[in-house]
Amino acid sequence: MKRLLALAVAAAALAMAPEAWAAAAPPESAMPWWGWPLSLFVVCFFLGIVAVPAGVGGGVLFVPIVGGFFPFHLDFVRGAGLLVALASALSAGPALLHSGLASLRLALPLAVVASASSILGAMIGFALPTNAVQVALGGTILAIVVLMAVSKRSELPEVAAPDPISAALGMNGVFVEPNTGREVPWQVHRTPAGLAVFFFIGILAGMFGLGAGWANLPALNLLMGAPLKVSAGTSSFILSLVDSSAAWVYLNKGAVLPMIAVPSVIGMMLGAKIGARLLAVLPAPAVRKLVLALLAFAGLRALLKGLAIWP
Amino acid sequence: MSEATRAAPDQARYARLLAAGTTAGLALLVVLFGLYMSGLVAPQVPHEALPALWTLPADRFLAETGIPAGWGWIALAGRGDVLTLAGIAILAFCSVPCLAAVMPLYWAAGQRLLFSICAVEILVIAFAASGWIGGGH
Repeated sequence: MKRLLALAVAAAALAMAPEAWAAAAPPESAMPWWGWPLSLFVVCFFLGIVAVPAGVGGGVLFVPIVGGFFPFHLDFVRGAGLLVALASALSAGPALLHSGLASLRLALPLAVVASASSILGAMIGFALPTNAVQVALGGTILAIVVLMAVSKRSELPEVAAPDPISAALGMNGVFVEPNTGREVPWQVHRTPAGLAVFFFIGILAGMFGLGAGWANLPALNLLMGAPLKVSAGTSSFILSLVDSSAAWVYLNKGAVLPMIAVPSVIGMMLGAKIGARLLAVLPAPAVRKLVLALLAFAGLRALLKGLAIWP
Repeated sequence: MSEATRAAPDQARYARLLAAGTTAGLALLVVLFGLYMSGLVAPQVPHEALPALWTLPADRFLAETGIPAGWGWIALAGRGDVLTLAGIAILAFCSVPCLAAVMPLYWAAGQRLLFSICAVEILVIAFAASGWIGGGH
């Protein structure tokens, strides 16, 4: 019964979004001004609920969905998307650091590269015509869906020996497996390749205002060999630094509109709290499939919007 | 919990400051947004004018509303919508004191590389915040 209720919540969450999308209309829409932030809050609340069991960051859901179905210019949607991802990462950071599921020493070298490139990405995003950004966003989202659908994860990757850079920086640690209480020592390798990948991740994060957990996680886990739980925690923590840099560019460019950004942040954070509580009862694989389908639809919408096929 | 799994001093210090900064930033954001929405602090752009303006690109939005780019918004900090940006700015800044706080630990431990990485990260965020890119400096 609990599972059925939880599934109903998840389905309602996804069903709510199209209702708000139907309301999305040109600026001359009859909806009063306050209807938009209210709709945004409701949609983000439900996105926050499903994001947690789906294992997807709120930012990656926010930008294509709100960009595709709300009347706001993409500049403001990307700015708000960055803040959604930033606020979520900042809030999660202290607990992740205290528990050892995020590693400061693993995060810092990668974050510094991605932070710098996120500034570059943000500048590219503002320099390109909006349609070009829409098309690139749609293509990126569809690629993310494929990546998330097919990529494997490794609970405890085997790392025979650390590379010289990770050894010099002390990019290793011990974490406690929550279910068993077992202490798991870990280390990483292929740090130069990881730094190169994080350079490109930063560009995408800054350009589209997406949280980049979808890319951080496989880079840390599959490429560098960090345990899955440490990868997930550190990925979130890295976002807190990367998105800080990009957020300043958006702030300076005037692309952060409080009426759009604040209801989104609050809605997503409240929804994520509910989602975390429902984690035990929600059928995570089913929710993940629903969310990926929703993401694919939103990516296609962004692509077609950019190509002026579905304006 | 063994010595190895207890949060390292750098992580513990960073986490404490991050928790304080994030809580302060989010609380301020909610309060300022409440003042803006309620109309207790008059906005630069009237609420009802927004639907006609948020469809414009950011540069045209600034031109139409008279809000300056970069740090120029400080001059309009008495306006509800612009004032709300202060909460956002705190969130975007709150990693900097955390990084600065762990630097002495790395220096004392002889970990010059990590010390330098923290310094570079602070410079990167400061550069992004400076307005040198994004205009208005």
